[in-house]
Parts: sequence; structure tokens; C-alpha cells
Amino acid sequence: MNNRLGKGIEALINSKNLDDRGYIDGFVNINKIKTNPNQPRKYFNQKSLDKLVESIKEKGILQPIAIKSIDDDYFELIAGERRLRAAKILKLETVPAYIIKVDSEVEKLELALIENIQRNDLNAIEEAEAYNLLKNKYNLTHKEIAKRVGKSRTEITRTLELIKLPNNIKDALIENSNDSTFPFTRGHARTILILKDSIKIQALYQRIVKEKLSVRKTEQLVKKVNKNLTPPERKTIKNILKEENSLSRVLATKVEVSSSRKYIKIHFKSEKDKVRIIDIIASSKK
Amino acid sequence: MKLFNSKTIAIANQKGGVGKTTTAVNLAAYLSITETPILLIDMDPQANATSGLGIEIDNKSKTIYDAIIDNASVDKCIHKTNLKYLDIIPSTYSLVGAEIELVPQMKREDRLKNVINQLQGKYKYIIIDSAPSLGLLTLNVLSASNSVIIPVQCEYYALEGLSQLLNTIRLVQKHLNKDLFIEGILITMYDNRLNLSKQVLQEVSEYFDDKVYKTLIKRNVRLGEAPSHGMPILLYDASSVGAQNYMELASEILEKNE
Repeated sequence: MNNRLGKGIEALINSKNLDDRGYIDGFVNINKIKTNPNQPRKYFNQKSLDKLVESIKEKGILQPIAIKSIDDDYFELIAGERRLRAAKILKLETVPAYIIKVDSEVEKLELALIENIQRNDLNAIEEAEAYNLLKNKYNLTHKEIAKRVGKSRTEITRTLELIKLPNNIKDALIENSNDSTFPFTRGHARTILILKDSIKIQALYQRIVKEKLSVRKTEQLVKKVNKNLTPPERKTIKNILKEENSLSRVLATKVEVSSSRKYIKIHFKSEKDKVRIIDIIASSKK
Repeated sequence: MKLFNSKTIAIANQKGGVGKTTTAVNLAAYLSITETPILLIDMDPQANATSGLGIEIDNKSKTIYDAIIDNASVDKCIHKTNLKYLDIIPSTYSLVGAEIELVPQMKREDRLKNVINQLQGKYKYIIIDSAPSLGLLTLNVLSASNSVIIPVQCEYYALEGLSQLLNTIRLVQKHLNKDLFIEGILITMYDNRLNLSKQVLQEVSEYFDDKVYKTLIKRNVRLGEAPSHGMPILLYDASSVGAQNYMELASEILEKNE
């Protein structure tokens, strides 16, 4: 079985005396927490934040946020940005928190990611951008990322592909990540990226949204567009015209040649004409 | 503020009905969907590109006429279209008079060039639709452009007109705009069932070689219908053959320019 947890209880240790910074019995002063600049979640849905505020107002924060200590005065947030925001809106003074020991920046990002991914909470683009950060800034391979976040390597590679989408399409995916009626999905995104050409991607994107095309239909269109990339070569047209001309000169009648449909069509004007043409062809046989 | 290395492309052919306006409108529309700002300038007094994009002109609207003749501020002449990244400087019937009004003026072939110079860097591509004539308006267009796309309809007369146009381009290169070059030759209203279409394509290809776009604009009724709805083909019927053709053309042009 894949290790879905990624990080175990050993990450949740701390023995330092932190009372100075206001860490008392698992609660920490809200003003002592700085947020993570590499936070993978970029988009905060206002509606779901409002909901969280309501629930915290009623029941309090049930799941402690995760922080690490950065110096004698401050903590840095690892996971729980929404809860922290909600707490700030409610003007709470303290929030429940785990202090996590984090050795490196990679680990910090990883933890933030794992938190969100495991709750299935990031939209496709945020996830892709987070992987991209792990890949470029910290030089992790797809395989390494896969192992750390507990997903398959192909899944990571496929998600990373989404980075290549034009910005407007990324924005649309982010904005509509909670809207199940929005016709453009991750599946569509992967499919249109096969096109590579920005105009074609944009044109097809507009059609998907406007005509509510299915992923299946999108695949068909992508195939069709790619097929058009090699239109009947100008050269074959040239050759065919040459062949048609030389044949019609010999036979003194209209001749059609089609390489794609594989035929040579010889026209005749009358029965007499037909006999004449057949004679020419027959006589040419030695 | 300079954001782009603007390139100005004229769509020109003194013959009427070869697909200049259809090409100008739809090419501009497809270029704009990659979210780079594109400007279409309508330099034809018939103002078909203007109405084809659903722009309605009243007495108060500023047009290319005001920019060229009355030195109106260019920014006031730019209108928005249904596409977010596509702007237009519309035309109006009074542009017919411009030909005559320009005659006594100094540097009369450079009026449009001066207008476009004020827009440098604001748009990635500026596409100009020109009038079906070789008069002063078309000279202004050719003098203001970096390159020219020549739509050629699949008819014998089109070939005749082509040599005249090439002469004009040579004259413009010699006297007004030495850097002007032919961006490409675009075969329009192609019908692969007709030998005439094939032969026009063959003739043009032999003479112009790889200047001829691989993309052929096929005869397509949807392209003819779209303007009456005030829409470029990509908004009117994106699944039509005409839409496919112009999409291919736009990407072929972008590829060549990268």
C-alpha cells in the first residue's frame, strides 16, 4: 500500500519552552504567526471562508493549525491559512496549534502541500504550481514529488502539464474550481494541451465553454484539428494536375486523378467518343 | 509606455470582393484570442470591417477620417469590440472625400503612418483593411505598413490584378516605404472541386513559391453570414470550415513571425 500519510507523528515534536512567545497549552497568540510566502493555496473562496467563520463562531477551531518556530519572537504558518484567516475575522486572540519541527524549506512546502492535497482542497492549478515549485526551486524529480505527496508519478506529470495552459484558462479553472456546472474541467485542460498552438488552444477553449463540449467531443476535435495540420500537400496537387494534363492530352478528353481516393476517371462525350478512347488505350498496349 | 514591438500588416488588393475585409476581421479576431492586444484599422470607405464587427457609427463617433484629416487624438478614435483584446479604428463613408481632401496637403501619403506611430507599442499586431483601389488611401496604407497580405480569389481576373498590385508595391518600396515586404499570398474562396481553383493555386504557387500560405480559405457560406450578425466567424460559428481556415491562418502567421 502507498504511504498516504507522508509524514508521521515524528514530525510533531517539540520540547522547547516556548512560553515567552505565548504558546500555552497548545494555544498560540494569533499576532505571533507569520504566513508562509510559498503557500500553495492561492485562491480563497469567499463563500467557504464565510462558512468556516460561522462554524468557528459556533464551535471553535476543532483542528489545530500547524506552525513552526522561526525565531524567539515568531512562528511561521505551515498549514491552516483558512482557519487563521477566519480567526482573524473573528478577532480571536489565540488559536490552537501544533508546533512542527521543520528542517528545510522543501519540507515546509511539502507539509503545506500534503495537508491540502490530502484534504483534496487545492484546485488543479494550485496543485500544479506547488509541484512546479518543488520541481524547479528544490530540484525534486517527478518521482520524488510523487513519493512525498503520496500520488503516482504519472499523476504528478499530468498535473504539471497544466502549468503550460495560457493564463486566462488557468484563471478560469481556479475561479470555477468549486462550480460543478462550469464546463471546462481538468480533463478538458489536458486534452487541449495536445494542440500546443496557442491560437488553437484558445479557440477550442472558447468553444468548450460556449458549447459545453464533453471531454470526449473535445478529444475528437483535437484529432480533427491535428489532422488538418497536414492539408493536401501543394506538391501532390501540382503532380496531379501534371498527370491529368498529360493523360487528357493523350486521350483528348477530360481526365480526373485522385490520389486520396485512388481513381483515374476518364470522361467521354458520346458512344463514339468512348470507342475512340478505348481504342487509344487498347492500341497503346504494345 | 512601450509594451510590444508592434507589427503593422496591410490586407491589400485593388480588386474588390477577394476577401480583404473577411480576412482582416477574422485574422484580427483569431490573433486577439491569445490575449495580446490587436488593433484593426478600417481604411475602406465602405466601412464593412466596421459593421462586420458590430460597430455602429453615429455623428459623434470618431473614426479614422477624424484621425487622418482632422488630426483628432488617436485614442478617441479607438473603439472596443465584442472581443476583449481586439480594438478597432472604424471607418465611415466620408472617408471617400478624404482622397480629395488630402490632395493639396503636404506629405499626404504619410497621414496614416503618423497616426500609427502614435500607437507604437500598444498593440502586438495592427491589421489594416484597405479599400479596393490603388488611390491615395491605399498608398497611405502601404506606406504605413511593415508588410502586406494579398488575398487572391481563385479566378483568372485575380491573376491579372496581381501584377498591377505588385507594380504598386514596387513603387511604394522605391519612393515611400523601402522596408515594405509581402507577408504572404492568401488563396481565398478555394473550391477543391474546381479545376480553376487548383490551377490558380498552381500558378500563384509557381510564381510566389513559399510566400503562398499553406492555409487555403475555402468557399464557406458561414463566412458570408457572419458580418450580418456583426460578429467575426469565431463568435458566429466556431465550428464552421471558415472558422477552421482562419484559425489555421492565424497560427501560420504567428509561427512565421516568431
